[in-house]
Amino acid sequence: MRNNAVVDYDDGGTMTTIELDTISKRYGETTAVDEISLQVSDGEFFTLVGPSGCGKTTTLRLIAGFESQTSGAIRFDGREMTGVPPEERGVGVVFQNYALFPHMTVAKNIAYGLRFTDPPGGVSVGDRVTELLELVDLPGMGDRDPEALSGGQQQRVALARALAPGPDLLLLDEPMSALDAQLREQLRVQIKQIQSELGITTVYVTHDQEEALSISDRVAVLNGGGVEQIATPQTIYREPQTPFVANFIGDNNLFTGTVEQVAAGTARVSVAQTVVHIGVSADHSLTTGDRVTFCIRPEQLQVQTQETTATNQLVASVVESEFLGETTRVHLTWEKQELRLRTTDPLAGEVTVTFAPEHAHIVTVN
Amino acid sequence: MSAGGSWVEKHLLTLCAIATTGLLVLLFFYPVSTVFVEAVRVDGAFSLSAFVEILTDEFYVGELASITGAGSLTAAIDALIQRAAAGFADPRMGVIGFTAYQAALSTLLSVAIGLPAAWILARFEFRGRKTIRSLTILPFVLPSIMVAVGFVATFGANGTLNRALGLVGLGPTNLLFTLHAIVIAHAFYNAPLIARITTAAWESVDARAIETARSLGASPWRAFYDVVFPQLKPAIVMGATLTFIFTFASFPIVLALGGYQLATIEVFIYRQLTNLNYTEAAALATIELVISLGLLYAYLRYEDAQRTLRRGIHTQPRRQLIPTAWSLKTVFTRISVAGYTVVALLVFVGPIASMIIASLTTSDGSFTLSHYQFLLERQTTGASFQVRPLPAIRNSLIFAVGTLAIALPMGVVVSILTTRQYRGRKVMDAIAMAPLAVSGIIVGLGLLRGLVFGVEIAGWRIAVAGSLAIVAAHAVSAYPFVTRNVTPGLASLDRTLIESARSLGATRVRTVIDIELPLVWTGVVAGAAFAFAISIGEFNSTIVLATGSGEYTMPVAIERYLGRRLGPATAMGCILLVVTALSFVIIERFGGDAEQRGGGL
Repeated sequence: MRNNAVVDYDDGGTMTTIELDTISKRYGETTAVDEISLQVSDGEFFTLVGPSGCGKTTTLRLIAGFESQTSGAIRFDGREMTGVPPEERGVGVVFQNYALFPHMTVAKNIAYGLRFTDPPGGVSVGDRVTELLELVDLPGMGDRDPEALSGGQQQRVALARALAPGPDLLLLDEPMSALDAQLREQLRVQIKQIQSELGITTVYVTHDQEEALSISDRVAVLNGGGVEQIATPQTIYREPQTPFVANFIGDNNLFTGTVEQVAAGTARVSVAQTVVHIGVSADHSLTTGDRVTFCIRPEQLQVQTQETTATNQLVASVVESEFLGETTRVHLTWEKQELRLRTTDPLAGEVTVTFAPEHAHIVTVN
Repeated sequence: MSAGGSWVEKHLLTLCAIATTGLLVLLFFYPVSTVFVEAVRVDGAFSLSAFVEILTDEFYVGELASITGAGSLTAAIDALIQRAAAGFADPRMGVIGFTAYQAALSTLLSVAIGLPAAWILARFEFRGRKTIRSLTILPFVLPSIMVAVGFVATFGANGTLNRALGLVGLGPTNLLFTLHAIVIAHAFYNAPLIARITTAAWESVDARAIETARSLGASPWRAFYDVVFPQLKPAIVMGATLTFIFTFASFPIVLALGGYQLATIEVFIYRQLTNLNYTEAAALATIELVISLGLLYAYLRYEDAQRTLRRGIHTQPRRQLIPTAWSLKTVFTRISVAGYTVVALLVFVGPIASMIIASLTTSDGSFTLSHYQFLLERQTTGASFQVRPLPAIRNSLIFAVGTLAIALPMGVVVSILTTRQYRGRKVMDAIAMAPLAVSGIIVGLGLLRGLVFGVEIAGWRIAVAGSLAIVAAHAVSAYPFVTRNVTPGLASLDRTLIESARSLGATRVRTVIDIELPLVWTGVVAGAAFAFAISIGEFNSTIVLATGSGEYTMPVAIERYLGRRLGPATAMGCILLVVTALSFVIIERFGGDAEQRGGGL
């Protein structure tokens, strides 16, 4: 019974990289995952983020071995995992609904995986359970029934249970969606701390883009079963590669116009009837006549209260001001398109909005 | 990775699936198919003559025979015109027609008795409501021959009904061997079923939908008609259809209460069997099965179309049975409830009480233990060919334990296989539930003519003892009840629990043992109780397989005694009642302990 796992459990000592090689998953006519390729390196906190139905959970289930891909290959440390059942993959999984075994105490839940493998580090099962209860900040709770715990506590037990056998890989499927906002932020920090302490390779699934940015080393934005962009949180936020990413991650303002003139590092673009100047990074080479889509974050749009000679001036009218506390989100219309920006206090009426050319980020050119 | 044990563990579910399918084929599909082969084989050659004979015989098809037996189309039309000219006077139904007619009447009465019960159970709060609600499952597991004895004791010339009527200066009336008795006995069985299904539907009606209708201007009656009734209708239709299917294939009740005049298809199959007319019996069985399967198919289609899941709704608040303030309306509804309670007591408690009273009284109504003494004497001095009580009790218990040993694992395996999502699951579902639709007589006949008489396969002669065949037949009719009790629990089990266990290193089989079975344990225990009770009360296949052998069970013994004297039959019926009740208590207790063990782990 013991040690029938192919992947040896070890407390974070082994290197685990994951490679998804053009994997697809189809259910009859529908394609849930469409030729996704990505690599997760050892010890990395990697997040799959996207709207519901984007294929993120299916991808996680494929990695865990709960389902098998229609085509493509999944490799752990270069080893093909096709046909390897979940119990032999050495992965710890945490689900949104905790999935604690209701007929076992907290300690029995945590110890369940140790029925099939010895605790890492040569300690006894009891010591391992105590160790994990301390790790997730629930010391002395071993005798409780799972139902007697709060949602946040249950989720920490689920995390401890997943970590108990010393998996090489941790998979988290929207673990915080069922919790309220405050608890979510606390647990987020805790999970991140535990993960970096153990150095365990982690794949995290969420639909919450803010959560994805705050917790991850790298993020893959998924949409319609495919990958839109894989990058660090900063790059995803500041340099979205597709209109979808630009819109999905944070608030954004997208513009599409025609290139009129190109100079070193900048370009003149006419959007609707207005000509604006935008910065051009080395990644893009524009020529006159190109259709270009660029974005400017709401916090980069400035409201001018006095006459100004700034380069890019948009005269827009305020539709709605939402006072959020630390900022106010202002919705405006300009040239029949919606703009959003952030101010300290609510606005009304007609305002002049400016932005610096270097704050415009080119998303696509064609 | 270890070898050997691990391979078995990995493939155990597959092995179980193969074993279950093998058992089903051996114990059910093969025997039943031999019956159909027999129906179309006359003197070793293929022939439909047995069917033609039945379908053109006025005795079976009634008036239709003048058309089906006309020989040519023109003659058939002539016959039809003749009958029409006579105004279809004095129509004769034939056996098949009568079977359908009594089923229709039984369905009507069951609905009439079941619906008020649903109303009371769904809309009133009173002490014992939950108990009564769970008791509605009881008739289903009561041995039908015992219930028949109860009805004989109620409706017979010296029955409790006539004694009660005599007390108020009425009667006597003889309902025995009349359609009334059969229909009322069928209502005893099926009205609780209708009450059960309808109560569940009523409880799932969202109170807010009714409140919305009222706030939009609907009167209470109008709100009931527009909101509540449309949600009850599917449940009533389903309950009625099931009742029709069950009563269409009813056997022990009609056998005991119908006498020689009133007989359904099932009773005639049995009579043909006892006359050794196997071909005609097989052909009749085939015709009955085709009709039953057609009805069942219609039922399943309807059920599928109606299936909706409602969860987390607000149920209507129940009214107190004894109101805090009396008004004309509350008085009227309480009188209705009281009136119905009297009817319900007469129909449901009457027969059982009558049986107990009859077992303890002489024909003039004085107390006696002579019926039990008769059983004791029969036990000590009875001839070997006579039915003795102790072997009957012993056989019943042994067969029930054997049934449990086969039906419980089989039912659980089928549950596990049919709740998992995979291609061909629906086919597996249908195959596994097929025994519910096939009469025990047909299964018994197939087992008798095949495995018991012996078959030759590749030069090997295989013959099975009658007792084994009885256990097989019982197991086949019992395991669907295990499956029905276990499947809902398994289906509602969160799949992430199983997936968590898998990712923690548990194999599929370990997950079943560690997670799934402990969590659905109450269903397993209930299924076991059902299987045990079904076996104890099984009559249809047992009477076929026990004919002329010493392998008789308590229900068979009751039928044998009933043919001669009511007293010993009622005494035996009381013993059966006690044994059934005791087994239930024992299984409950054992199951409860095991559940706690599972919980503590």
